[in-house]
Amino acid sequence: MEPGDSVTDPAAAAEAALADVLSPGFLRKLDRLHLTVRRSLSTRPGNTPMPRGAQGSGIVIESHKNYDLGDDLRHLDWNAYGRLDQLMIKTFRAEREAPLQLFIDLSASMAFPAEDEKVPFALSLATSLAYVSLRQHDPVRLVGLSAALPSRFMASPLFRHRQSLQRLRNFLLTLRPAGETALADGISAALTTQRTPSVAVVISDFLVAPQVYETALAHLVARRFTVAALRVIGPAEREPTRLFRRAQVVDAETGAYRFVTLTPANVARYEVALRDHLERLQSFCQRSGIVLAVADTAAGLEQTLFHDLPALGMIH
Amino acid sequence: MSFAEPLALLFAGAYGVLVLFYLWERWRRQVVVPSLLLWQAVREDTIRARRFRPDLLFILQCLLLTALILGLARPYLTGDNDTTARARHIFVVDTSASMQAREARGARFDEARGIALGVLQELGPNDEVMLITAGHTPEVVVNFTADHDAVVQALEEITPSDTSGDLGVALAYADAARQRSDLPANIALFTDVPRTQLPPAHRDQVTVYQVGESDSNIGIQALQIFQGRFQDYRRARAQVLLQNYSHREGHGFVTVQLGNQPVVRTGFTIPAREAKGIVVNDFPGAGVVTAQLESADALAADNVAFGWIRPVAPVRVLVVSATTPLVKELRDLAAATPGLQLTSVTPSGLTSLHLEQTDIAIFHRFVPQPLPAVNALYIHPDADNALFPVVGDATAVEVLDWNATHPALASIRPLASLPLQTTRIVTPPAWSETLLWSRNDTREFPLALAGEHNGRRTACITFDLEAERLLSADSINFFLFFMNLIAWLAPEQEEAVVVNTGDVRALGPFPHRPVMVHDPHGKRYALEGEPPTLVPLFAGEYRLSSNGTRRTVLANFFDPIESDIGRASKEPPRAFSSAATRPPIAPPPAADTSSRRARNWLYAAAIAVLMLEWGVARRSAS
Repeated sequence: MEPGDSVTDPAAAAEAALADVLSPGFLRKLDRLHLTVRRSLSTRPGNTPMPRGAQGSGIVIESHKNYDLGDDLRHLDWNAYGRLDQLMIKTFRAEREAPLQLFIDLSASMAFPAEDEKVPFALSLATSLAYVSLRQHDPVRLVGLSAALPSRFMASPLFRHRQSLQRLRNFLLTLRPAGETALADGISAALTTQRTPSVAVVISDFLVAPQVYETALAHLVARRFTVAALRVIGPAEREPTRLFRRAQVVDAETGAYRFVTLTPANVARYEVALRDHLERLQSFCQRSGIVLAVADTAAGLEQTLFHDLPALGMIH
Repeated sequence: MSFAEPLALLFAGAYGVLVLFYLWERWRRQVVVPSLLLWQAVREDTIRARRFRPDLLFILQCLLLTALILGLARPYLTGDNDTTARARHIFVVDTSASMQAREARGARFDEARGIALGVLQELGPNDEVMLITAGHTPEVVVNFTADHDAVVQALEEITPSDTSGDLGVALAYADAARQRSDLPANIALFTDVPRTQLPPAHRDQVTVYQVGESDSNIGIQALQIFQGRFQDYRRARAQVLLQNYSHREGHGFVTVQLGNQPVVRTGFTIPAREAKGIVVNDFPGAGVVTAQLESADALAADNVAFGWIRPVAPVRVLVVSATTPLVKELRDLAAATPGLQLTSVTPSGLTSLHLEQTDIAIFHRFVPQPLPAVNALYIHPDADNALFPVVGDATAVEVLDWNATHPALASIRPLASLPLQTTRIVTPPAWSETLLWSRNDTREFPLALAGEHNGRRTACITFDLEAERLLSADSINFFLFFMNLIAWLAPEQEEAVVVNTGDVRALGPFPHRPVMVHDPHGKRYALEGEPPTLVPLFAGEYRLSSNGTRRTVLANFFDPIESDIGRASKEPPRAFSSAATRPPIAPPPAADTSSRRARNWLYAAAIAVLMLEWGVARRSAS
């Protein structure tokens, strides 16, 4: 593939991808999904149960505790008293609003190889997760990240209702990949306007030096976000022999180039480098308590949403 | 190994073009990747990043280029075992009449044939030979062949004819064959014509083996028989014209005979390069006249000539007219002409029996209905006849023009100033041609016309001969015209035809096929074509027969150019006796056939490599 070569027009591809996601049939499939949120420090009541959160009142009994002076006597568990001859107070599962922040890498690297269609896939993934969250009455905010953007990011308003899907779609369609990667700077800048920790999903190819994405993700972890990282990859990125045998390879973001001949040895080296990159990312995410999913554009959106993410516990 | 076209090797510069193309193509090819992050581990072509490094495609393309360049260069192996044909030779042998001239060593043609056989013997075993005869009609006797025995046999069989030879056309044939040949070819001409007399276009392109030295020839240049149309043999006379072509005084005897009966035998002496005529009268009868020359000269072909005295059968003329002075005049005319038998009848007395016994019917002021099935002359036809529509009359007219090409007007002095009192103005029928014209104030009209109508010769004189009294001694020209018209109307009585050798003569009609010919050499063959056509190549008598129908054709060899056997610019005769004196044959380039074979193989290899390269390129692209 050479500069200017692309399978389809990027804007048209994004629009088509979003149209598929927002089709009634696909939305019905998404209705079965729920984001798994283990922690939210939001104080606003919502519909998302906090698995390890407890509150004095509610619907679902979370656990019991010994009666302390001042506890609400209405929640005394008389059955437990009858059996244990001890005063026990019922505690209930906390339900809080769990805002979802979707950080989408809009650097130039996301646009290549063009045949991988990483940007349309990322937008489709973001739209799907946004819909799942909105259906749970949890607000959603989309943030595009790129060094080409003013302040390194571009954020959408907070969408709260399913009726906001069209506006959400329109916002996504304004996003264009360009410029260098700005994961760390962009996320850091975006968080200055959104302090409340919630759920953060970073959708990127993470093709930057490890310290860059580690810094970016660490920002989120430090702010006590529930973080998930979605590494978008395509078949051409996995197998560069699909693109050329001998060529001058040019960096999409920096313009740097190398003359490369894809001998079998070089292909093996590349594959090792890719594997090392993914393993390092995986290792960091694991250490940091970040859910990492590798979303292959060739496998398709449904594979990611209905198999990969549920397997990781991010969706149920 | 060597190359037939070494200049083709200059195309090797295309290799550089191919390399440049590869480098340029490589420089142009860029692939954008998301990041060089993963490519840092890949070994870069740092040392040869901008240098050329061939791949399989390039090697295949080089092979293709090599095959094409070598194919153009036509390589061949030089070796002693090359058994392919090395050269071609075109033998052109003059078979004209002059080649029959006898020299000290024998006939010129035999000498030329001997030389040709000698040249043939000296050729390489694989050399190919073509044999062309330069006779009246040049002919390729043997096409290119390495079978020298076949050429020898053909040389033994060809003979000279009694005709002129067309060397120009024969050499043009040979030159065309040489240009079409993919092997080098040379032309060898065996003739008695010196090089300086050859056509300029071929003069320097042929090897001439000239034979013949003698100029000693006395020949019969012409034999003319003078016999009027209505004259029998008693009035016939012959004139024999002899020509001495040599540069010395010539002597001899000439014998003229009728059939086998000698009529006259006389001696003659003719100064050098001069002619002499001999007149012969008193032939005892009709038949073939033969003039035979007895002279110690080199060429015998022109020592005999033939003529024909026509047996005259009387022409039966029927005059259909009222009793008028014209009838008497015609009777007087017939009485004075031995070949005419005239009868007369009035129009009312005309019967079919009269017409059956008539060769020519003359109708005076009368056109019968139906028209008679006989050759007819209509004099001053009646005004309401249907054959020559009359549109009016004219008076006081003169003959203003005439058709001098018609046999009726042949050898007649102008008929102008022939005043006519009155004449019919007729519309000429489409089948006729006008013989005499006149005009008045308003139009031009015929005075006499003739043609063939319903298979019969028909003529018309629009003015009244009786009124004009034209059949008199005062109007000798008109009288001759009238007699010629009668002769034209008379049925053909010739039984023999006299032609020149080489003339194409259409004969016919013959009622049956095939028409068989006995030529003067006793050879028998059938004539082809419709009508049957005879081209006599030898002087003498040709007898034609077809199921009872017989004809005689007498062919004479009258060609002063061929009979003049002496040559002005005589080149020294070539005594072909050894290879040392043989003119060198142009050395052929080495092994043209093997180079052609190698070229074909190389082109086939180029095609195979091209297909392989295409397949590899497609695989790389996919």
